[in-house]
Amino acid sequence: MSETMFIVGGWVAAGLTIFLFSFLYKDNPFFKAAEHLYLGAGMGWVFQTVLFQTWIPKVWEPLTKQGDWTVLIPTVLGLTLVTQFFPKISWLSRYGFTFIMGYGSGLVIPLTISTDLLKQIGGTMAPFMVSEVTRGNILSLVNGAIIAVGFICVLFYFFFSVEHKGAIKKASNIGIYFLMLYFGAAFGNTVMGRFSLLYGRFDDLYKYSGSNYFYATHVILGVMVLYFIVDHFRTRKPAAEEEAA
Amino acid sequence: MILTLNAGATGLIDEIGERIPKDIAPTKKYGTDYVILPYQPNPVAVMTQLGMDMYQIYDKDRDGALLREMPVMKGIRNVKDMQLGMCITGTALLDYWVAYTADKFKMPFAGGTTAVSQIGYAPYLQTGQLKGLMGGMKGAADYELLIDAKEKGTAGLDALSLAHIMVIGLIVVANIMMFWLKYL
Amino acid sequence: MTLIKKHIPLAICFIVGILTLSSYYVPTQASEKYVESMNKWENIVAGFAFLLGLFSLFFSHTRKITRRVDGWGYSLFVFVGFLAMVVPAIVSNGKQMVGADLTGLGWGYRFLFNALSGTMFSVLAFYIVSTAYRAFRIKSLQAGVLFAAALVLMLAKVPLGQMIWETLFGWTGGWDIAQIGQWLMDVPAVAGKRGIMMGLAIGGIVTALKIIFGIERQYMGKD
Repeated sequence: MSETMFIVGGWVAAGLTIFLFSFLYKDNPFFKAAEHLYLGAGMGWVFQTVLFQTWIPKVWEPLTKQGDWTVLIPTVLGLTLVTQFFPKISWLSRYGFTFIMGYGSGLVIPLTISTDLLKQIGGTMAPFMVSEVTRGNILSLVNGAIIAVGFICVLFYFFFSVEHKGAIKKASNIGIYFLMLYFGAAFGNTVMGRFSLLYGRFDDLYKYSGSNYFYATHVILGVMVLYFIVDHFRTRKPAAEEEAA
Repeated sequence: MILTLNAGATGLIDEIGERIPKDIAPTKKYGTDYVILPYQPNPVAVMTQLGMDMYQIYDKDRDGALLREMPVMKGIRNVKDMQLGMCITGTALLDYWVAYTADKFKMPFAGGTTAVSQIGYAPYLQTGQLKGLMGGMKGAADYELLIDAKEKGTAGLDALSLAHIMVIGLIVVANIMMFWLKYL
Repeated sequence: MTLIKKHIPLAICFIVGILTLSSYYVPTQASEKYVESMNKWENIVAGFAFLLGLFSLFFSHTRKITRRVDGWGYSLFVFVGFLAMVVPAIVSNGKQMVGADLTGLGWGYRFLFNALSGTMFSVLAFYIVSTAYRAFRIKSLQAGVLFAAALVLMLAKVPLGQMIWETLFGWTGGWDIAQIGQWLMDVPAVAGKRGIMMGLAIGGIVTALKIIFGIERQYMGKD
C-alpha cells in the first residue's frame, strides 16, 4: 500500500476521532455521520470475520469439499433464528433459541457451582485451615477473618426472604460498608480504565498532527472550531431577528 | 497459540502477528514457536472443546494450514498438555476462561484486564484460580518494567497521574462547596 | 400445531440441557462425544446469531431511508460503513496483510474501525470527570467510605499519587499508599465482590434450571 494511502488513512482516523469528540460540545452533523459510520463499520467488520473464519471454513468447505452433511443441522438451526423478522414463521426461531439456551444452561450449572460457589467458599475457609494457622502468619489470619466476616455480612444484605431487623440488620449494615469499599475501589479503577482509553486516542491524534501527515489533527480541529462559530452565528441570527420583530 | 474469541479483536491479532517477527520476538518462527488461530464464535463451546480435543474446533490455522502438522502443536491435543494460558481482554471473557477452562481442566491461567474489571477478579486471584493478574495501565507498566521493555504502558502513566489528581481535586472542590453552602 | 410450535422446542431445550448437565458429572466416552458434537454445532449456530443484529440494523435504517424521516441521510452512512469493510474483505479474501503489504481491509481496520471504536469508548472519560464533579457528594458515612476507597485507589495507582502520599505521610513510617491500595483490593473488596459473585451464581443456577425445565420461556417470544 502506498505512502499516500497511509496519509489519507491518518486524515480519516484523525477526522473521525475529532468528529466523535465534537459531541462533547454539541450534537452536530459530523458526529451523527461518524456515529452511523461506526455502526455500519462495526457490523461490516463482524460480518466479514464471521464469513471468512466461520461460515466458509465450518459450513461451506465441509459441505462442498468433504461431503459432511451433518453441518446442515446446525446451519438450519442457525437460519431459523433469522425467521424472527417474519411474523408468520417467527415460531421457527424457537428451535434455534431453545437449542442455544438448553446448551448454555446445561453448561453453566456445574461450572458456576464449581467456580463461583465451592471454590469461593473454599477460598474463604482456607486461611483457617490447620496447616495455615500453624504457620503463625497473624496478618494472613486477620485478613482471612476480615474477608470471612465481610463475605457473610454481604450475603446477609442480599438475603431478602427475612426482614432486616435486630442482628440481621446489624450484619446487613456491615455488609453495606464492605460493598461501599468494593464500589469505591471499582470507581477508582474505572477512572484509570477510562483515561487509559483516552490516552490511546490522544496518542493517535498526536501522531497524526505531525508534518508527515500534513498536520491533519490541527487542520481538522480548526475546521470543526470554524464550523461551530459559523453555526453559532447562523442559529443566533433568527433569534435576534425575532427579538427585533 | 494466539487466538481470539471476540470478532472485533481479529484486527488486533493481525497487528500483533505482524509485529512478532519485527520487534516483539524476531527470533521466534511461525509454526515452530507460535501459531495464530482463526476467530471462532461462541466462546463457551470453544473453551469447552479446547479441554477435550482442540482439533475438532481448530483444525487449521488462520491462513488455512493444517494445525496437526505444525511442530509447535506436537504432543498437544488439548489444554491439559499446555503449561499456561493467558487471557488479555477488555470484556468479561476471563470469567469464562476461569470457569470453563482453568477450573474445569485444571489449567494454570493468568489474565490481563482493564482496570475497570481488575477488581472483579481479585477473588479468583485469592483462591489461586488465577495465577496472576495484570490490571489496567499500571499493570501494563509493571509488566513492561518486569520484562525491561518500556512502551505505551509506562509512557501513559504520567498523563494518567495528572488525570487522577484532577478527578480527586474536582471531587474535593465539589464537596467543599457542598459543605460550605450547607453549613456556612 | 402447539406440539410443533411450543412443546417440541421446549423438549429440545430440556433434552439438550439435561444431557449437557449430566455429561459433566458422568464423564464417559459417549458423553465426551456428545459434548464435542454440541460444541461444533453450537459454534456454527452462534455464527448465525449475529445475523439477527445485522438484519435488525438494516431493516431499521432502510425504513428510515424509504420513509424519508428526519435525519434519513445519516442512515446512508450505516451502509457506507458496512460496505467499506465488506467489499475490501471480499477483494482480499479476509486478509488484513498480504506479505508485508496492508490490504484494503487492513487499511479499513487500522484507520476506520480502530479510530471509531476507540473514540466511542474513550468519550466516557469526560463523563467520568463530569460525574465526579456533579454527583460525587459525601452526604452520608457510606458515601464517605466509598469516596475514601476511591481516593486511596486513585492515589495508589499512579506514581504522582504515591509521591504526594510520601510527601504528606512518609514521615509516619507506616505503609505506603501502594500497599494500602493493594490491601484494599485484596481484602475488603474481595469480601464485597465474593458476596456479589455468590448471589449472582445462585441466581444464575436457578435461572438456568428454570430455562431447562421450561418454566422460564420469555426467550421464546409470544405464544
